[in-house]
Amino acid sequence: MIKFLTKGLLRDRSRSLFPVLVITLTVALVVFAIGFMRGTMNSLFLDTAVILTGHEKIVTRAYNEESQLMPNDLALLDVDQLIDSLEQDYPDFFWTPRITFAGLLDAPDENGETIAQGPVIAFGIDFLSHGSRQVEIWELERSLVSGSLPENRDDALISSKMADQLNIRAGESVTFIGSTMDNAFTTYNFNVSGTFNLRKGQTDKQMMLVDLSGARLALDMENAASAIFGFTHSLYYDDEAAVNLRDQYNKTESDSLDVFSPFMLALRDGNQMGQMVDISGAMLAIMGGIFLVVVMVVLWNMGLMNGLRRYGEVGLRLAMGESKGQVYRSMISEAVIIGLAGTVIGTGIGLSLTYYVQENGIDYTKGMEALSNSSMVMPNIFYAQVTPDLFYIGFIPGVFATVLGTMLAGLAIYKREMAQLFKELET
Amino acid sequence: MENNGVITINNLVKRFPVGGDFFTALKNIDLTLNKGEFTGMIGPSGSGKTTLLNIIGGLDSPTEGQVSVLGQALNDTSHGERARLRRKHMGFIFQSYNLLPVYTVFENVELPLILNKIDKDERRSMVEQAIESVGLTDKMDSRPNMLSGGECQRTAIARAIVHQPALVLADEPTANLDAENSHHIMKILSNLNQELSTSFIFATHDEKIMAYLRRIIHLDDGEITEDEIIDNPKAHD
Repeated sequence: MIKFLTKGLLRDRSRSLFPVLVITLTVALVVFAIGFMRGTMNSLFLDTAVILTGHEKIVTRAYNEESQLMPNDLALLDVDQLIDSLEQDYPDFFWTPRITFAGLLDAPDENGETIAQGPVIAFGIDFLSHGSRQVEIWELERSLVSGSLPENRDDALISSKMADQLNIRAGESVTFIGSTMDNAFTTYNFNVSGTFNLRKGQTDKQMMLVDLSGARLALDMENAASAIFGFTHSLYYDDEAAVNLRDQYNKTESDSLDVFSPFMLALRDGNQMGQMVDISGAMLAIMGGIFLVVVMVVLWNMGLMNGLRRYGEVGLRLAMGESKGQVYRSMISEAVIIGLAGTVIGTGIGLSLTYYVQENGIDYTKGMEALSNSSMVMPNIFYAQVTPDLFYIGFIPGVFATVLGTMLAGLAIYKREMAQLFKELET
Repeated sequence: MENNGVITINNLVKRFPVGGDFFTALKNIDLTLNKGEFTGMIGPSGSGKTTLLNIIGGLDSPTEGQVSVLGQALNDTSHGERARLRRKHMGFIFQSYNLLPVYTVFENVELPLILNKIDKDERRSMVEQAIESVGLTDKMDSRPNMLSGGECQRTAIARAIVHQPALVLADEPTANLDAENSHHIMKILSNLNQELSTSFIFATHDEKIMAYLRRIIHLDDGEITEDEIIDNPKAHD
């Protein structure tokens, strides 16, 4: 009987090909939509994480208390050893030191006389170490407006807005004027290797990016850092995992009585980021839930219609002596096969599409340029995100809803008045 | 003495609830049909033909009285047992053929044998024989949409007799056919009846059928008004 039914299923495209196509498309849409929504939310977090917070950030307890002052006198020491132990203990993350500092940037003429000066917020980033992913996560190759990326310790990238303001060009020299981690006065010359535009509104208005080694030299911070940033290898922020790691780390590694002991902060601990994470999580759940329900109704309805459409065939099989249970089970088996086939193909297509957009993104730079004067920080490229749940989420509408629809339609088999079969089969 | 009773009905009453009342569709029916009979139940619409056919086929239950089909008292049987009785020992022919459109003639005819779990090789020979008996050997691989109305009904007949049932129930089998095809179908059924000793019961008001019947049960208003035995059916003249 199974072979007989399978033959019929394969021949009747309205029972096989059409439902499989509908389920495939729907599941692919669900998988991609959820992956894209999640990726877009993650892109928003990633911008903040890259510039300010990391997915995790380790600072000293004292630095955390005064962080808005960028107090490098309270910076972490013995950073290389600390990173070694972090990489060993928490291999799901990659860890990188960061020095955040501020001061004045002086643009001199060929005689060394000041032409222009302006406040600068600088980030000492580990660009030059082997295997560093900083250029990648800052998307600097795409953001470069002129010149080239830093190749030497004293190279600096300055934002194109600041370069315009101070009339600085790539290849020129600038002098940073500020204070060392011991609060001594310091001046340090950087070579402007290039200018950049992060295309995130006013975020980079006074920004300068230098290599960590240059910053350490300028601020006298040998083997020290304002913070150590941790990022997941996939760059996907998992709030629950981040919070668990933070709690575990602080419990075992941080001494509440020692103001210089390391203290870990999750991305949500940043200014109002907790609310953002919660709101985006809720939005994602609501949007994903609504989308899932709509899709389930469509597939449920398809299962229902498919069952009802075969009213005559079912009547015939009952009249010929097949039991109601047998007919019901065969209909559900068909729905399971169709649902599984559509879901597996749909999940494959959805995941492929999501992966493609995860790797390449959808570039919305032109749209964002219109917002370049606003203070809103928005990503220019929206990336999707492949997460483990995308591998099974399509099974909810694809198999569950389809089978549920068929089960409901199939209940009509049990409610069917056998005495009406002759009458029904006459029409 | 050999018991040839295929159907025995005593004091059968069938009532249907209508609103707050009951409509009596069959009243005190007493009937015995023997093996190999070629019987028609005739009467106007609403006379109870289809209701009686339903009860004989185990598709409906009597309100009162005893119904025994092929030695099985239907009053005491479960849905499953009645389904088994239909599957093993009965064939059905419907007015609108009810062939499954995605299957070929061969496969449509094969269905009752699959339901009865007949071995594949035996199935093939039984199906071929049934199809040959209705003269559709050259259409074995055709789908119903490629057949004429007469050919569809012949396929339905082959399906009804392929598992060599003791009883075939036919509800208006010629209602959708023209005169020529109706006669052709009835000749086939009549021949099968004689070759296989299968009992046939028709519910009909088609006069063309009546010419082939050897027993005619007249029903009116739920009662048997006449039970006519015809020794020499006109069509056999």
